Amino acid sequence: MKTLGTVVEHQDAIVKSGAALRKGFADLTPREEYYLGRAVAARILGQYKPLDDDGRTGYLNTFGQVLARASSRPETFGGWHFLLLDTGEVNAFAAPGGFVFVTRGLYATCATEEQLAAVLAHEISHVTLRHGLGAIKNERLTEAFTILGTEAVKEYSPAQLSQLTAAFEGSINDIANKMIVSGYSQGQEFAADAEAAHLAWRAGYNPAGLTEFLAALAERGKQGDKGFFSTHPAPGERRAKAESAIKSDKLAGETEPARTQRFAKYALR
Amino acid sequence: MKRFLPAVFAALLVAGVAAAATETVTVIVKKASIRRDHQFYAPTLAEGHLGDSFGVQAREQGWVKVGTATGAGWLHESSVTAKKVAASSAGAAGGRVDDRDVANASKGFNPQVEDQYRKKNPTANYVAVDRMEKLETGDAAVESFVRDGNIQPRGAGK
Repeated sequence: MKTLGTVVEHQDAIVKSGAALRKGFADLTPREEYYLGRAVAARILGQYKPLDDDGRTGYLNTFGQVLARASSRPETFGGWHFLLLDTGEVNAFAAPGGFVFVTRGLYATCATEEQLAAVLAHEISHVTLRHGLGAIKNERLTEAFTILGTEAVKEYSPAQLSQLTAAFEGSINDIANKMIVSGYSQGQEFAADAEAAHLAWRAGYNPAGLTEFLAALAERGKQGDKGFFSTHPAPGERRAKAESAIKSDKLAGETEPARTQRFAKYALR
Repeated sequence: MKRFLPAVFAALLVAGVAAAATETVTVIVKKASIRRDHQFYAPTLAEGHLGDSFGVQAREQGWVKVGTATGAGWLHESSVTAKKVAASSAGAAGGRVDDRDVANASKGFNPQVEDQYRKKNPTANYVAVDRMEKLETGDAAVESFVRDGNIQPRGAGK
């Protein structure tokens, strides 16, 4: 796949030469993506508390691993991690490197495991499509890459470290603002939906869970929930596009009763 | 002595395969599963760690077949980088790239930068992130989840 090839080729170039000239977010290594993701996750967890519920957290994590394995990046640098946030706000976040957060409010909107599969697959797709990293302004990376384009060092000098930390902090702000405040572009959301349908299908789920979830979300939107709806395209439009992608790509699937029964044990109402 | 022979033979075999391979791959993630088949729910035979290198035996559908001390297995393409190494210096499967390469690869945003950032941003909740990263799901839990949900994966998981 094109994305994989890009990651591998750039990593290869970097391993071969510490002075390799890097230009944009696509040139970030998996390790750099991981540290950026940790910082974005730390910011989210500075704002929201994790849900104190080992049962559902374990369920979400195992479920997430099952889906992530079917993605184009089954293993990120530090692995995939999934967490429930204790807020009634309807939202989900995916930080670079594979840190995925689902709010209690969004989780409660899902009526079946197929629907939750669609939510997780959508967030996983934001990571595999590198949408978070794409939010970083080019000049920050240019600055960081200029500092890094010198000889290999095991430790940075105080001046280098200060400049790199400023670029790092700016990058975190760019990603967090895009994820939490302004939202990804409509094109990115539609791309994540299309990828999510494929991912759910590959993993063995019914991709129709995505359109069912978007219908439930549209209903929820009528109740005036702001968070998610201010950063995502209208669920009706997303649903129409997802339905069209599922049909044209022939992603037929069935909803397995065993999964619906399992989800009933972990559902939140 | 007899009981050591199979192990010695296996090591020689793996080393031979690696030496014969014209291509090696190096693991670019902290931990990569080497699976029995090129399928994303296949059991893990062994693990590769950051910097480990393996001789390539085959490539198929986004997976790379590599030799290990316990037999051949499959690594996902996204967990490794292709790196041409001369046959004479390829070493045994599971060998490591040299220190300079590792130092170069670890440049950039790293723990040193993270430490500085944490000092400047005390509200960033890294304690909770560390806790999140410790939530491990093993193969057994995934297998059980797949089995209990009658999940039938489609395709090899490119």
